Amino acid sequence: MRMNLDWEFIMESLPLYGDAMWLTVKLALIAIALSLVLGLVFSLVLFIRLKGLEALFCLTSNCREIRRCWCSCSSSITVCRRWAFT
Amino acid sequence: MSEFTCAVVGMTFLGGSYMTEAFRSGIEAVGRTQLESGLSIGLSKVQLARYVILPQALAISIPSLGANAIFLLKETSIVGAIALMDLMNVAKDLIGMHYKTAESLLLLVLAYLILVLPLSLLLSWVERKVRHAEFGN
Repeated sequence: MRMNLDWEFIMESLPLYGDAMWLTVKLALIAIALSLVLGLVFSLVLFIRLKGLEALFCLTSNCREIRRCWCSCSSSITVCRRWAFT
Repeated sequence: MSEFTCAVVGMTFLGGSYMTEAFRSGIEAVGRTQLESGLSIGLSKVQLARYVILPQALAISIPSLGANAIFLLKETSIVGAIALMDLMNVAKDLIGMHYKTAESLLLLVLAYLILVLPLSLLLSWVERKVRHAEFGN
């Protein structure tokens, strides 16, 4: 199967694609840079807050109070949920 | 707020969620013994992150970060939904106005190829360079 392409149309519409390409490049570069920053910050927060360092530092420092606070928080949430269902 | 700003914010949050997972997997891949060794020589939290965790985590997560960057570049086609004239929107407009589907799609393919190919080559080069920083190599 042979396809005839309209080269005149292609040449005419090239500037439109050029502008759109520039916009796409700008948008992609800014989005990639910002998302890298966002990703790095959020992953560090996740790592430090949830597991990793916090748990590790508990080995070396006294975390009894933190644990007590967590226990009280979680138990109060459970109690609240129970109240909500009864 | 302009449509470009809206697009940047949307794409940033979209990409940010994927990048977070990529970074997180890299950070969690760093062995616990590394952290304990850093603590044992008296590094602070910031120093531990800067000199022990991040170099190794970056080396591990570069491939997935590159894949996410290419995905984000291709995902820019979605901004046509907020009337931003990106490549996909221009191609759709031209098809609608002139019924030259093959020509418009050919130009679209070439434009994306011109954008993605150098980025892909650059990322594979970066990946090769950073691999030397992995622990144990």
